[in-house]
Amino acid sequence: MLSFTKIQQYLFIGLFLFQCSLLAAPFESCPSKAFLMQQQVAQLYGVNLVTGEYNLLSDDLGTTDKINAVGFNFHDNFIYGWGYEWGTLVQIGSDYQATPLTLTNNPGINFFVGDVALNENSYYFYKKGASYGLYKVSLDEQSSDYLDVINIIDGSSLSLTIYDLAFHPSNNLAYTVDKNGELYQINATTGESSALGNVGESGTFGAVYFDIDGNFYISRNSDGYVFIINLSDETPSAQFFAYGPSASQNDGARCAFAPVVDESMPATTDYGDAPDSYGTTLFSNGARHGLSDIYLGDTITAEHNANIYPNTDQDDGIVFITPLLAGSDSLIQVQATGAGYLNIWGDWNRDGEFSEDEKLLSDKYMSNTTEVFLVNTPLSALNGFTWTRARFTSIPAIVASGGVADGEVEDYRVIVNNPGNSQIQDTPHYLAFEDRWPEQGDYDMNDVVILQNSSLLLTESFEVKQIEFHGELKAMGAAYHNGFAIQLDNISPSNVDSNLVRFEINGVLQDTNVIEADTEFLVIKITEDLRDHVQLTAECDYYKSEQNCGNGSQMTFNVTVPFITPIALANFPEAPYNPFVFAQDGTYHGDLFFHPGRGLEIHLKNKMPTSKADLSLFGIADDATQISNGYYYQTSSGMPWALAISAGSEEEWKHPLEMVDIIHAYPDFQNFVESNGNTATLWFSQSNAISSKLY
Amino acid sequence: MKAYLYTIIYLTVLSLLIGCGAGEEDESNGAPSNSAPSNNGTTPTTVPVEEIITTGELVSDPNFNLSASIELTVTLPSLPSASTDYFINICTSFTNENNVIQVNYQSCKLRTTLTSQTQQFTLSLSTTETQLVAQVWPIENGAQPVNVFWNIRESGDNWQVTL
Repeated sequence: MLSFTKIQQYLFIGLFLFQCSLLAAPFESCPSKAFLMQQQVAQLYGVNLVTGEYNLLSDDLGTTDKINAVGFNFHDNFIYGWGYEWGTLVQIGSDYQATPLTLTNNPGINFFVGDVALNENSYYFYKKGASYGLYKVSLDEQSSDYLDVINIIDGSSLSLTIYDLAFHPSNNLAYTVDKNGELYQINATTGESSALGNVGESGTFGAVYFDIDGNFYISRNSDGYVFIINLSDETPSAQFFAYGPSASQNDGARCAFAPVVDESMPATTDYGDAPDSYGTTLFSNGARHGLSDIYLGDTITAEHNANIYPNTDQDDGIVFITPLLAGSDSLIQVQATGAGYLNIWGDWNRDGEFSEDEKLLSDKYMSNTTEVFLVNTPLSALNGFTWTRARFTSIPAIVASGGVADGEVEDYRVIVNNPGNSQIQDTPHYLAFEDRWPEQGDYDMNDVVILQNSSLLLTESFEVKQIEFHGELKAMGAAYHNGFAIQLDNISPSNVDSNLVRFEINGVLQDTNVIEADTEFLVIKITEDLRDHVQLTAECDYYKSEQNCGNGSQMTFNVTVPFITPIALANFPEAPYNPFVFAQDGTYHGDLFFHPGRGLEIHLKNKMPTSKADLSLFGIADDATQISNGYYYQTSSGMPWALAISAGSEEEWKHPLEMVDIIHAYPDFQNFVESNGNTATLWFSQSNAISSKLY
Repeated sequence: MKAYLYTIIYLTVLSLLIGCGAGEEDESNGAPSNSAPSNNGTTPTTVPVEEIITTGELVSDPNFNLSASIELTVTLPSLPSASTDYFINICTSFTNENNVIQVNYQSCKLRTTLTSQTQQFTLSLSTTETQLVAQVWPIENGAQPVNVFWNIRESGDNWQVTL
């Protein structure tokens, strides 16, 4: 039987071993968050560099003094730093308790600049001054010089006014920025340094970090601003990156082999969704916010990185009650959840960027309210669709990009008009083509399917001053290479104000001229070949016309066409106008002809061809066009090769699956056709379809 | 395709012939009139055979463009007040819950300012779009809209918006 004393001894030894095992526990992995040591009595914070969001990890590190010069050791997953209480190196594990380590040849003073190397298991620390300099101590327990301090270079030979340094993840050099903004590169093996130029920001950069891509982050003590520096630039400069925590005393550590976004964890960052030229993705230092209880509308979404238009998020905070009226007042409604400052930018010159002065609202304070605001759009704002960005956060005076710890960003595509102008939005049309013309096809009506939206801008005199098209390729069940264009019948191309034409594919401004040259009437040529815009997977021959071929790629287009002389509305063609597909030059398009090219056009029934159509193709095979009667693109029984389906604003038209005749997917189509449209006018509705036969 | 059609016609005619031939059967016994003896004793079911046609077999008037829409003439009111600007949105998508109107402004067919004169527009609607809201906003801080509604059953294809 054990005596009480023996039990006490065993319990004490057990407790001691248990504590030792806890003290010895390293961090479990190489974390994506950065560590920030602050305060006169050390406190450790975790910082999300993406947003600047930070949280206290521990306010009790087992010391009564500062810990500085911290670095994360990739080799053993401990944090190392200089403990002022003990005047020596300390090791910090996952319990956030500092354990002092006894050094041989300890210089005998305290240090605030240090980091752990990546290519060797050694801690480097630095102090300016002839008696000090750059030191190294091995953290490798197997090494003969374990915890033995070696002076690399004296502090007069390496004389820098710096507050932290960090090792690059691939070139093994250390980098730092001094108080004047000079960027330095240090060879820690030799102690040699080289100045790489001024980064354009000055101050006490008490915490500096790297990510796995070699991006260098520097955090300024006075305001907490985090800047990012691309070291591969010829003249590296500090770009604002995020609003982080400020403190009089700062030191940072980070596992440089970790990306700044940990995609194995649930997303905690909200991004916008405007085209990336506006600064949307993390790569572009896009606008982003840490999730919090401050947001716009009723909900907020989180992503690991931004969805880029035409992929969009669910935004619900801002309602543009009126269009933005250039040089005049407009109405917007804003719903704010939580308290913060609202800023809204608008791309008034449509150059694809938000400049600092392109503001609609600045630091409007709101707290759990829904309000209607009067806003003024500058007179110089160009007519047509553009992008706006709303950011709501507890931090005032923020810019249009970069990270913020809380709040939300919402991007909106809006229209800018002149006061007195009217906007008529045409009903959306689904354009469904069979591309075997002049041979009759299988009528699955999915060889090309495009959703076409259009709107007119009218002057006070009811004249059309501008037309906009916004479309999306919904399906491409075609083996042929087809282009897509829209003719505005009887409208002269010479009346187009070509300097103000704007053409975007997937929100990206295009260099190509969207107005086709040398045509009698205006032809807006969206693409020579729709296949260029979608990526077909190995298993799928077609785009979104077969089951399990829900291709992730997307093709949308936006075209703005202003007219030099506005055109009377009565003389303007009506929606859906005259859209058509055409054969790409130099490609196979059936056995009836060899590479018919641009001259082979397929239009809606009774829509006229363009002046570039090859009229000799009419009357071949199943085509029964009678130009003299105005009968185009129909068979001898009056059936078409293309349909324009006006499904309305709320209903989506779904095209038939591959090889499914439209009449078998939509049985009411028969009555609609045979009654000349007098009955079954809702034949295209989902409620009248056989859903199993639809894509 | 033609072979398929011939098969359907053949089956249709065959079923009619069988039906005719079975006319002497007593219908009260519940047996299908065109049933055939079954080897396993179970009662076979009748498979109705419909004539399935294809779109290629349809006939359309050469002048019919295969589209359907509603043409709506809208007359807008003149400015109710000379001291305030007013803006009108006419939209197809909206909800009305407890007299709170939520409009989807992406669905607006017409967006314009009111003027000192009445204005007339012709809007082309889908056959699914049978009701509209006209929302009139004074251009001022804290504005509240006036909502006016149209539906095709009550108002037809001519809508005079009155405030």
